[in-house]
Amino acid sequence: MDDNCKQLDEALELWKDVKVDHPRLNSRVWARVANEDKEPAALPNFLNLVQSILSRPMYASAFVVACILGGLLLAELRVAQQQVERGNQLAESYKQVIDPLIKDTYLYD
Amino acid sequence: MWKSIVVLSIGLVSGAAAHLGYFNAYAPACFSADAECEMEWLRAELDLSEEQYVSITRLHGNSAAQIRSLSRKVRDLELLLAELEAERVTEGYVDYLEIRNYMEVKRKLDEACMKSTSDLIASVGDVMNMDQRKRYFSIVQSRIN
Repeated sequence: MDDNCKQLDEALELWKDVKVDHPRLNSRVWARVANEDKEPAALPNFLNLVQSILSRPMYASAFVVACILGGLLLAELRVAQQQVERGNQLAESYKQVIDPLIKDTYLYD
Repeated sequence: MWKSIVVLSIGLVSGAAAHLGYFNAYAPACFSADAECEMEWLRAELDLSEEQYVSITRLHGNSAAQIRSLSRKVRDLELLLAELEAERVTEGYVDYLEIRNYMEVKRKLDEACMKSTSDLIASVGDVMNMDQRKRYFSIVQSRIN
């Protein structure tokens, strides 16, 4: 850490043309460096959390059940949407069947 | 680690299986615009009894030939109009007598088409009860005069 501080001091020493007038610049820079060091470790922490949750049988079962319910919900939404589309499509084609004035009238051909 | 991966895999596979199973079981059976599909859709949409379904299918079948013939006449008339328009554009000649005849035939044909559609809708409506008729009329609303 002291070695790094020394390097930073040397780098700031080189940066003479720009006047930096801030009492805690050094500590702030190191705080930001420390924060950036922490971020890459966030993903493994999340994976550890997932792993620790799924290792418990109750939570693992709950996860599987949630996946099944999610799949069913999605399927129900898709079915409902398809039924609406099909209803509209068949209503239009039914009107074509009964009305010869509609351009695409066809009948049991 | 492996245990978590197995649990995740089981969850995702189960979810996908549930999704596909439900969707295949309850998705609309037919999407094609054929007569059988439409009659089945009408039966489901209006909660038709078997007897009503048979009567309505028969009514549609009986009027099919007439509607097809009228439809053919409408297309022929459209072709005639296109020919007259082409003649006007290419030769600069307007046959007013022909146009008058066209207008007269079209007027009579439109009336015949509207009568045919209205008659069919009315006879189909007669087979239904009040609630079914209301729903049927809302479907064919734009075709009722």
